[in-house]
Amino acid sequence: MDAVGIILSNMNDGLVAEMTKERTMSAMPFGGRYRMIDFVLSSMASAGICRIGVATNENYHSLMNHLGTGRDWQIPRKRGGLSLLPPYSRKDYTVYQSRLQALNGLKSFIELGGEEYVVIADGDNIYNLPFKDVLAFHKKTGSELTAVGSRMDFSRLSARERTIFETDENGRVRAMKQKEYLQGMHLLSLNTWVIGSALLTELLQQAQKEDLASFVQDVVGRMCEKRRVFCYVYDGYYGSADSLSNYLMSNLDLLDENVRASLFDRKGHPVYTRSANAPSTKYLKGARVINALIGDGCIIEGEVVNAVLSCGVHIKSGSIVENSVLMDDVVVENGAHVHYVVADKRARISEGATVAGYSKQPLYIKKSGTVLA
Amino acid sequence: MFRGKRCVAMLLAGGQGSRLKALTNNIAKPAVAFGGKYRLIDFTLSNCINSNIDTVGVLTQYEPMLLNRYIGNGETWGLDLTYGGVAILPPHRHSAGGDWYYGTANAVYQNFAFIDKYHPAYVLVLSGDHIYKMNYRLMIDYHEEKGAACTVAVIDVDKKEASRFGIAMTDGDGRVTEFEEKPANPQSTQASMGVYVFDRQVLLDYLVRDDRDPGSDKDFGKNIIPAMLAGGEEIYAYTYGGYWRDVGTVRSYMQAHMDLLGKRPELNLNDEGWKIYYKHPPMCPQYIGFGAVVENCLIAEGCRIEGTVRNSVLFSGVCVEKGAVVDNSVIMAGGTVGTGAVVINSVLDERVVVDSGAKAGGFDEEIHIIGSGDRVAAQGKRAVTEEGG
Repeated sequence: MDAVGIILSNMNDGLVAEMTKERTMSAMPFGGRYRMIDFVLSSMASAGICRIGVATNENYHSLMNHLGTGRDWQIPRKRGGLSLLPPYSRKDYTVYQSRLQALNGLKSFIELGGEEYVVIADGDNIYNLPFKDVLAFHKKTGSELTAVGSRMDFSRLSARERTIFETDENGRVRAMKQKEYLQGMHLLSLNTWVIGSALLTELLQQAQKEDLASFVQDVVGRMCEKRRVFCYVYDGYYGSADSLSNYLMSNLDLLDENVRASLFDRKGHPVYTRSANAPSTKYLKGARVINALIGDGCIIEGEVVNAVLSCGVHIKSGSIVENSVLMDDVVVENGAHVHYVVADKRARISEGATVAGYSKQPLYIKKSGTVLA
Repeated sequence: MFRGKRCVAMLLAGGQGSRLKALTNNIAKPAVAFGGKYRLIDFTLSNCINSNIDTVGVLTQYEPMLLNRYIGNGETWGLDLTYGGVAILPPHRHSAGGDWYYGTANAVYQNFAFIDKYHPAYVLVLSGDHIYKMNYRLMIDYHEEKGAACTVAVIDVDKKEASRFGIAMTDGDGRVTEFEEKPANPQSTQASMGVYVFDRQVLLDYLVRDDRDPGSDKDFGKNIIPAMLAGGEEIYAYTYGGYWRDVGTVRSYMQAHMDLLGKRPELNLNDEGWKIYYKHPPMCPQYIGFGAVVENCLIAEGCRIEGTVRNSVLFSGVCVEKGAVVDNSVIMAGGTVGTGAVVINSVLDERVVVDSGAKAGGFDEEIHIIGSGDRVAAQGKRAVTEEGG
C-alpha cells in the first residue's frame, strides 16, 4: 500500500486517567492477551503499510516495551518498519497536546518515505479495519480526505463529547458535529483518516500559519465545508475504551462469538501481539467457568462467569469472578468475590474479600494494588 | 575480531522417534508437539538461552522441513544473533566427499568447523527431544571445577527402566569408572540423559580416532564415552535431580502430558524464572462457553470449549462443541470435536476432525492415535485421511 501510517498513541489518555497513570492508552491491556494498539497496528500491517510511526507523548515505556522492533506485527523492517516517535523537545517547543501539534511534529517523518497517502489513526480503536478497502474507497470517490466511521447505538455508550458525521447517499460528509449527549444510531468518527501526503503537508503549514488548535475541529471541520470529504463506513465490530464502563463493556463484548469473528477471524488479517511466552492455562479440579475469555498462563481453581482474564491470572478455589476484567497476573485469593471490577496488572484480592462495582460504574483496582477483606 | 565463546552447544535433532508411530510420520521427533504450546526442541533451546549459552548448532537429518521452518532464525528463543545464535547444520557434501550422519558422534565430527568458528573451551552435546528444565551453566561450572575431560549428566532411574539407558558407575567423588550403553544387567541406576560437556580438544581427538575406526557405530554413548574411559580420561557424572523425560513411546508421551496436570506438577511451566519459549500463533484467547465443563486440563489460545474437557491437554485452536466429551486425551492444534462426539484415551494429531456423534478411542488400556488431518466419522471408528492432510 502506497501509504505511511501514523498512530497517535495517547490522544485520549485523559478519558481513563486511572488506567493511564503509568502507560498510554494504547498500551492498556485488552481482550485477554492484547494491548489496545495491537488492533490498529495489525490492521495497518496486514494491509501492507510498511512504514508506521507511533507518535508518543509521555509515559510511553510500557508501549515501547510492547512494540519492540515491530517484528511481532510482521512489519517489514528493512523497507520502512516501525518507528516510535517521541516528541522533540526544544526550547521554543512544548510537548504536544493535540493531534494537530503531534502531526506538525511528524512532518519530516511523513515526508521521508515519499508515499502518496497518509493514514492517520488513534491508537485505542478496537477494530480490524480493512485499510486497503479504505484507500480504494478514497481513490474511487475522488475524496480529498476520507474519514472512517461506524454506525453506533449511542444509548450503549457513556456520555462524552464525540464526533459524528452526516453524509449523503454517496457517503460524502455534509456535516461533522461534536455532541456530548446523543441517543440512537449515529455515524461515529473512529478518528481514522486517509489523506494525500501533499495535501496534508499543505494543510499543516496553513494551520500553523493561522495558529489553529485542533485537527478535527479546525482542519477536518473546515474541509467538510469546502472540500471533498467522504466517510468510509466500517461495518465490522468497533469497540472503544473511552471510559471505565466502556472498557469493561468492550472487553465483555468479546464474549459474543460474532464480535470475535469480526475482530479475529478476518482471513489473512489476524490481530498480532507480543507473546508473553506463558504456558497454557490450567484448570484444576473445582474450576467452574461459564462464558469467559481467558488468556494464557492462568490458573483457575474457582468460578469465573462472564469475564475476561489476561495472562497469568490466578483464581483460587472458592472464589467467584463475575462480569469483570482482570489484567495480567491478578490474583484472586480463596473465597474472594469479584463483581463488575476492572483490576489492573498484578492486583491482589485478599482471601474472603468482596469487591463490587456496577456495570455503568465498575470498580477499578490499581496496578499492584491489594484489596483487603 | 569477536571474542570467543566459552561453550558451543551441539543439539542432536536428526532422530526419527519411530516408536511414536504416526506422530513422527512426517516430522522429526524434536518437532513433535508437546504440552499444549511447545515442540520438544523448545525445551532444549530454552534451556540453552536460559543457561546463557547463545551459540547452538542444530544437527538435522530426518524430515527436517518442519523443524527448519520452526527454528527459523532462532528469534523465538532470542537466538537470532549476528555472532553466535542458532545454526541449522544438515548433512552436506564437501571437497573430501561428505555423507549422511552416521551416528551422533559422526554428526558432531562432520560439523567441527562450526564449533571452531567460536573457539570454545567446551562443547555441550544435547538431544533435541527431551522434556526438562536444566541449567547447563551449573553443569559446565562443575565440569570446570572437577577439571574433567568430559562430564555426563545423569539422572536416577527405576532399576527396571535402567537397561533402556546408558548407565554410569561412579566412585565416591562422582568420577565415572564404567559406562555401559543399554546394559542387559545394569550395575547402577544412574542413567545418562544424553547431555555431555566435553573439553573441545579432547572431544576432537576422540572424534578423529573414532572416525578412523570402521567398527564403530559413531555414537557418543556406545563409542566415544567408553573409548575415553579406556584412554584414561577423567569423566565425571553430574547428577540432575529435576523432572526429565525422554518420551520415546506413545505411552510415555501421553504420561508426560498427564504429568503436567494438577496443582503442583513436577515440571513447573509457570516458572517466570525459567520460561520455555515457543512460537505463538496469532489467535485470540480461549473462549469457554455456556455449559462447558473444564476440569483438570490445560487449554491453549484460540480454543473454543462448549462441551466437557477433563484430564486432557488441548493445543491451540481446538474446538469442542456442545455435548462433546474429551477425557484423558491430547488434542493437537486445530482439532475439532463435533457436537456430542466423544474422545477418550486418545492422542489426536494436528487438524483432526471428530464428526458430530462420532467416537475416538475407548476405555480399554490402549492409547489411540489419530493421524494429522484425519477424520473420525460417526459410524464405527473408520478414519478417512484427507488428501494431502
